[in-house]
Amino acid sequence: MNNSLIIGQYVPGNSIIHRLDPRTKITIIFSFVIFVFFANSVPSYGILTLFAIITTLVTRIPLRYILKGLTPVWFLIVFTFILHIFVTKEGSVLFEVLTLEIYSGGVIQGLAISLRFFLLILITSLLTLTTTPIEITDAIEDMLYPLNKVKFPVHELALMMSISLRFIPTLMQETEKISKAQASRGVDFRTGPFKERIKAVVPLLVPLFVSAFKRAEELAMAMEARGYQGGEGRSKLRQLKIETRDVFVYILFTCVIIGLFLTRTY
Amino acid sequence: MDITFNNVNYIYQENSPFAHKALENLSFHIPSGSFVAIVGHTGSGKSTLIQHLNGLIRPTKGEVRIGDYRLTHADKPKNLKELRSRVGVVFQYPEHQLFDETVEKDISFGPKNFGVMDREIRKRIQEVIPAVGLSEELLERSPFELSGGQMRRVAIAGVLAVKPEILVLDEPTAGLDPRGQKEIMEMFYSLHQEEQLTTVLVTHSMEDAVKYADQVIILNKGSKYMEGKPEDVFTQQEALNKVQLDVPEMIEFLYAFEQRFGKAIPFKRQSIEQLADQVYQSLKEAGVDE
Amino acid sequence: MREKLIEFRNVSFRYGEEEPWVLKDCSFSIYKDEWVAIIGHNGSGKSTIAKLMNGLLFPQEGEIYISGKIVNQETIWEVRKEVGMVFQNPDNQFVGTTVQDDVAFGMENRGIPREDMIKRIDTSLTAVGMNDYRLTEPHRLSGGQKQRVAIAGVLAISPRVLILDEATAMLDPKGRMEIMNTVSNVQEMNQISLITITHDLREVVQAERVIVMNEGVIWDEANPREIFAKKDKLREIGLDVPFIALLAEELKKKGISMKNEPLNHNELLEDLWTLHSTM
Repeated sequence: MNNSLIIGQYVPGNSIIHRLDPRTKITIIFSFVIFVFFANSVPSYGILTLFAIITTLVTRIPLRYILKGLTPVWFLIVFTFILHIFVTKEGSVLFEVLTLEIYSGGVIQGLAISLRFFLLILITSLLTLTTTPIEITDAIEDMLYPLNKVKFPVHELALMMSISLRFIPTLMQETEKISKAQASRGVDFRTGPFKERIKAVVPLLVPLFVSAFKRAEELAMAMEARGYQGGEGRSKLRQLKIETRDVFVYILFTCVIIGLFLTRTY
Repeated sequence: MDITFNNVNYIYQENSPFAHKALENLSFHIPSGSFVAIVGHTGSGKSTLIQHLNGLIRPTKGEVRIGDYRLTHADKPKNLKELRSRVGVVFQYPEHQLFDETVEKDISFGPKNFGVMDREIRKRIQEVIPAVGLSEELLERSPFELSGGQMRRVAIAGVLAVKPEILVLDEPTAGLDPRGQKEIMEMFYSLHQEEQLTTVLVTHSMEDAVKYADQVIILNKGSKYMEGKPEDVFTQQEALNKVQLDVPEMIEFLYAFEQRFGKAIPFKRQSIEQLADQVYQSLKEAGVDE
Repeated sequence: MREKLIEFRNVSFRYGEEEPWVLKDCSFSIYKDEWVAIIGHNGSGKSTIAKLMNGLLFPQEGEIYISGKIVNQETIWEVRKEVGMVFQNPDNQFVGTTVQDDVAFGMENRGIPREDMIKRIDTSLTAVGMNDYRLTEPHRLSGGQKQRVAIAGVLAISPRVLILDEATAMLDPKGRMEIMNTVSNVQEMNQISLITITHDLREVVQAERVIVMNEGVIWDEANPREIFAKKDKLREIGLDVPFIALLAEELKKKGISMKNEPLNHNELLEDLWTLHSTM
């Protein structure tokens, strides 16, 4: 399978982070994303960075693997840093590159923004690395449940998401199979003029669509044969439950946030 | 073209938590013009092996030689496309690769990609259509209107129209009914003989392996488990059962016969008629003995 | 007289007004706890029969009764409680993201309480030998394993009939054997009628009765032994005659006549043994 698809892919494990209720993880990560923007001093950044690093270590996912997953983002982080160095003209002049003056304010701001960016990506990727997509779906269904009152089809949406998740690996295998079959018939997906490469996609897409429709049809029939009649009157096997560890993590996170507000400058 | 594997290893998603070794230290040689059956369970590395044959993947370690083309981890042949035009692959459920508006266009797709002239393509279609057992009336139809069996034949025609020297077949009869299975295998066998092809057949059917192959390679967990002539490989029932593979039914019968009557009838790829005769003779002898 | 579970009365079916008839005037019955095999080449109408039994299709002519109830739009949900189906493609019927989620799907649809579901998941997965894979995702399972999960999903709702609609057609020999073993275990354990639809004559040996379909009509209805005896005719309608039947036929030509049409190696060898002692 394609290597680049590893980014953010669930890595099975048994760490406390893996076992947390997905709603806990989503809530904390969302809050973290917001609170990152409140950090403005070295200690406040320090607290958040420490939190992120410790969480990462606790997952016991190989660091090398996480960093590799972040490769496409490194470029953006470095780019942000450089942009700030050249654009921000505050503080004292540190040194000159050719005719451009580099200000200390630019360096500091560049560092801060890049760090912020890095923390955001790291923490959000921890969610997908330690939570199976179906857990995320369950959490979303549960958190959106109040919307049922305004006739929002929460059950259908969740079912749609879980079936899509179920079929992603199947369709990926299928894509690979068809592209190999067409490559064997002389299609070149990688080189040649742009126009040719676009044309090369047709023999891949048509069979994929044909097969996806066939699958959908058969799946619908199988679901019907198994008695599916929509969300009404359905019971559920999957249940989410807040455990002691979730409470513990909420308390810990609250402490981190208090620490952040105590150390930031006003 | 000869096919040679020298200590080939292949690892999927190397250096990731999902790394998975598909082939391990695999070496074998297939002489040009032979019919080889590759047998093994799902997951034994058969499909990985096949993909090396036309350079879809390259060994993680070791070397693959197809005629003068050489594939290693570091080198891919510059003329990969030429290799693919000389090695035709019929994948499992090949009808899934059909995409064009008409049967004719779909069959022409391969040859066109490999730079065959239009006139020559038309000529080849004339040859290929009857060879796979289709009628010319279908040429203007959409491949998606055809029956499953017909679609399979169109897909096969598309591979044959490239005129490969090596033909690789990955379970070409999967999902067909008994009549369809037999027709397709007979078709490949006569093509093999008429066009002097080198044929590599991946199959679960021991019966097909015995019937058509000159050489059998048994794969187990990515390594070569046994290799040799069908009559030599398939008579080793114990070794095969150890990796949960069956022997062809006739051999199973001969084994049971020997257990029961204490008389061995050697397996020589005989027909059922010949076998009945041998059973009859040996029963008669036994009757005389007593 | 055994209880009639399924009855087809002069059923004809086609997919559209202009289309040819797929089934023509078919009548037959399937009884309680019976194992029936329906065979025929691709396109002989055998899979259509399965879909009609489950109310996935409705006949244009004739009636179908399940446990005495006629199958129509009003009764399909009751019918589907009694008739469980496993289809051909292992991938296209696996709904859940893990094995236990998939087994639960049918029960969730019927609102079965969670505690009950957990118990039934356990028993039905044990019955098909998949209890160690409860949390496994479908793409890590073999085709045979997926089909066993599908069977478990049907068993969990305790239907009276289990239909396997070419459930082994896309499997390798190992998977095929897994399914055949699972199915005969299930048939012994649970009191359930079994309908296996296939084009592989080797799979019909264990059935009590075989219905042979050809061109949309019932070509023959008999026990496996009687069916095996009709070798040339089976070949004419595109079916494959098993090795053992062919060998028996050749032996007969040589003048060795056997009492019974043998169904397996042992039976043939047994017959030969008796003959040889009298030779």
